[in-house]
Amino acid sequence: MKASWNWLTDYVAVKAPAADVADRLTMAGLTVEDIDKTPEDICFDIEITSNRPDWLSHIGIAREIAALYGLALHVPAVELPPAGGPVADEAALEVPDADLCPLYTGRVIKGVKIAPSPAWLREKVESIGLRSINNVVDITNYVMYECGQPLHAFDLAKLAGRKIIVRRAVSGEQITLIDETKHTLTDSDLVIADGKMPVALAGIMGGAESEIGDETSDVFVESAQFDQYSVRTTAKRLGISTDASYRFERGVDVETVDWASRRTGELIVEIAGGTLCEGVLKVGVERGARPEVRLRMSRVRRILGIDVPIEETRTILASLDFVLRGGSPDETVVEVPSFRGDVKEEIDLIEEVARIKGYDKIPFAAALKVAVGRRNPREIITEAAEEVLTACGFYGCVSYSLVTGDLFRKISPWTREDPVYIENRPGHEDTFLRPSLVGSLLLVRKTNEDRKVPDADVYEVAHVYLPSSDTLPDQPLMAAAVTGRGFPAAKGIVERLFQAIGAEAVEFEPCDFPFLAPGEAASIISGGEMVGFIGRLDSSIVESVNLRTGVSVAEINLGRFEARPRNVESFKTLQRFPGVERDLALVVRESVKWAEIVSCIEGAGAEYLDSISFISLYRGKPIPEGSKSVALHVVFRSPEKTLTGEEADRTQALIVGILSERLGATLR
Amino acid sequence: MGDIKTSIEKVHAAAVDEFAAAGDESSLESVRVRYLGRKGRVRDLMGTLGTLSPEERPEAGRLINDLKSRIARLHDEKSAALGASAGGEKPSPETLDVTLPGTPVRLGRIHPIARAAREIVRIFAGMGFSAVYGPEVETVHNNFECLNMPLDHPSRDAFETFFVRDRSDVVLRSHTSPVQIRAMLASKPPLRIVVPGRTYRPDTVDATHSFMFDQIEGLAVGTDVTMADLKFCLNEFGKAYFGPEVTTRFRPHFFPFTEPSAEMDVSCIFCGGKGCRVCGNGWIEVLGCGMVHPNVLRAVNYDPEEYTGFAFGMGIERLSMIKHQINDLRLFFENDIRFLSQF
Ligand SMILES: [Zn+2]
Repeated sequence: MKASWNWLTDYVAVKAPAADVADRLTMAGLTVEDIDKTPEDICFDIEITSNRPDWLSHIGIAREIAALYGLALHVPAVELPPAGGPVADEAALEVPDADLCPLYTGRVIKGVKIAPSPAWLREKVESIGLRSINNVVDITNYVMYECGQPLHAFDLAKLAGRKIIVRRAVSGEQITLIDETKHTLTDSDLVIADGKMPVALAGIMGGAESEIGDETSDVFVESAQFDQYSVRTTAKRLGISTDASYRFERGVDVETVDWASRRTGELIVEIAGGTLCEGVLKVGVERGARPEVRLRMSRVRRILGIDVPIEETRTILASLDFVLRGGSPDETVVEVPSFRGDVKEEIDLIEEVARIKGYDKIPFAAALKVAVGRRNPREIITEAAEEVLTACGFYGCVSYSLVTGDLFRKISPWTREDPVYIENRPGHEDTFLRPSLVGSLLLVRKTNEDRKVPDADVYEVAHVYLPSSDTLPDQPLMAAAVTGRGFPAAKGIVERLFQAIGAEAVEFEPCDFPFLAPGEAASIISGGEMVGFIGRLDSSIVESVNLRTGVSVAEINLGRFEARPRNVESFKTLQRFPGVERDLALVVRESVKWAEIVSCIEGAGAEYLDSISFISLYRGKPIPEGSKSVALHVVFRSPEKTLTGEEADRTQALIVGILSERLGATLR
Repeated sequence: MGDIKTSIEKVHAAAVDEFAAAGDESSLESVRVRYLGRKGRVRDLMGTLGTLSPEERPEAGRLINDLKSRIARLHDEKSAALGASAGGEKPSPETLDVTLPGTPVRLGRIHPIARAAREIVRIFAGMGFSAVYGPEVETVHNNFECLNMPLDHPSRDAFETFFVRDRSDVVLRSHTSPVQIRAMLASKPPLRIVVPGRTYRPDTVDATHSFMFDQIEGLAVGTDVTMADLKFCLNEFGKAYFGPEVTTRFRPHFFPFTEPSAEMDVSCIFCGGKGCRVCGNGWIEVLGCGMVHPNVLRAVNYDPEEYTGFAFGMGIERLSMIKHQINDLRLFFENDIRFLSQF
């Protein structure tokens, strides 16, 4: 809302400099965002919050200045000029759809002379950035910016049957507005119609047909209140926002409707001449809601944390035109003025007291009791995972949860159903919530490759979204990573990550997701369900993303481990006696997996077995076709003594025997 | 072409593993020869170029050269690592140039949004706030109605919302505030929580707008919580996050779910509050806050006569942008390593 300094001072005789006033207004909730100085005037650009339509006027802002500086507010008294014949002889008014129009008034001025505005009026409307059009239109704009009530002037001669009907449009009816746009209406739009057709979109904009022109002689002035939801719905649907619709959407003061109508009539006769007809056409109720609200001093203290003397609260409320209706030493009862639709209960009055007194009068003083900020399991688990990933050279990413395109449909390991689609993204009808983070990280890697950062190892911790029969989709928290490293290196990192989050008994099983390279893919199983996957990205996806190099990818359902208590490591005694180390080269069939070898050795019941680790895998001569050689390292140890070579040999023989029996393994 | 790409990647993957496995200088050298030597696997790949069509050859050649430098890097890194663990060759004092850069250490970073969120959560943890989380896809009821935002009210204009297709009751949350509702429904006062998380509004992406952004929401409810407590906690936060020298001011504002409501400004960290190109008038707006509206308390069956509370919300990217002088919001979501490695 633009407000002119000169104009404001028509209503309040403020002596403080404009910069000081701008500051006080800002600190009272009318944020002055810009101050534009011209030789003649100063224009404030003020951000008006949506709860305060009464501030969308110079009188409303002047009221605030008066309250802040303890000054009187002067609202001009309207003196209607001597009247001509009865208005009912000139025009007729019907309001069949009163549910969307609580109050409608019309006045008629006959024999006006349309001309350019006088200098003072032109300066007024131009001071707030409006274009001066002609005397009558400028007056309606002037009065709207004066009191906040939108007005519309019709050329009475152009209204068929000299009749105004406030009704819902008939579906398919059309109207051409003053700005020459043409619109087709529905039966939920409220229009002002004459005897034949719509002549204005109620509360939004007048029609071109009945516009005031140079030849206009008889003017019909509309001042009304329209239903704010109706105006908002129609304006939104047609994509129109005007000064009028902006005010009606937020709610105009029903008790200002008549004042604005008389004020407009007075000014038109004064400036454009003509005769004001006797009386007013009116349908509806003129008195607004004026609820009584009680303000308890004890509540002021409970909310603001300071004591405000009751006299001061009463002065503040009275300065804002609340009417004191009694009270006691501990409380005040006020009648809320009709223009303050935002004030409904006690808390609203407390805000008014705090606002005018100044938030800066409330100290920085905590009386809060001691409390403990507890760490959420999600923070703990996320930070543990991130610690591992960053230590391994990965960069954390944040990419959009809303995605489009086949890449994200192809990488959908957690569900076979369609993703969760999202509406209202014009131009992006294909938008859905990603079912996996991997696609996004591939695009991040691609972006970095394109910018000459090859080999970007990246991860993201975020939610994915999976269709569900519940009200809300499943939204598990995932950690995903993409790296140029090979499968074994990637798996090593994932294993370390599982260890860091305290996940036990995690198993890797071959799997065949189509986006992973055949034979180089594993699903990760814990507690009988899939908690992640890892693999080399299939070359078809590498090509479709146009990556220069192949990558390993992994995604883990981090949230799955959140509820578990993190393992507390229990100390294991440091071994005092040396172990006996042996390297074994086993020849086994190609189908025998490392995991089987380990479980076979562990299950052998060997007393001195301390640890098993993998050394290498070999295929080729002299190993027969269809077999492979697995080199492994075992340590035998006793906590009580140094093992003899014989004891170690016996243990080894036991293990080798069982490997041979169960897996057909032979020593090389 | 696809075949040769696959072969290149197989070679690279194998090289990564073999270089990693090399335990000493001599095994490292044999791995090097196996890949980069005259009869090495990279050379072998070069030899297959002849089988490709003339159009494919330049691209394949480039990829193989890439491979060569990637493997050379693997070798250099491993060599440096082995040298370090062996104590390296001991250079005589005259030959060691101590101004030469040390061997690079490859570490990643957490994302600046995550870093800022962690920092903010920790600041509030020091004042007794615990982090809680809630779903990003939310019910309209929690996102709006419980927060004193009736349908079709202009106050919702600032909260344009993504809807899930074919569902009028499910949205992408437009703020983290619905988690307040969930937290209050789940427990009785006193309550002190902070809620970090992603939020969504259908804005067109530019230097200061995004359809996805991160917020941190806070809520304190008890029998004795006042606006003086609010001012204390948020003033302390301002100093902890931006520096002990900053001052704060609270301007009245409007939010449907708080009353009285305020916006908090901090004194400009660049000019000290004198006014500059960044701040204009010496103040930078950082967050919205206020006393919890009685209607919100009623929506979760807290008696507003018995309990009062304050709430606040801030944009994490915005705070981070101010603190680090980042001039474009899109940088956070592009994930360019050159950006990510700066924080
Ligand atoms: Zn500054």
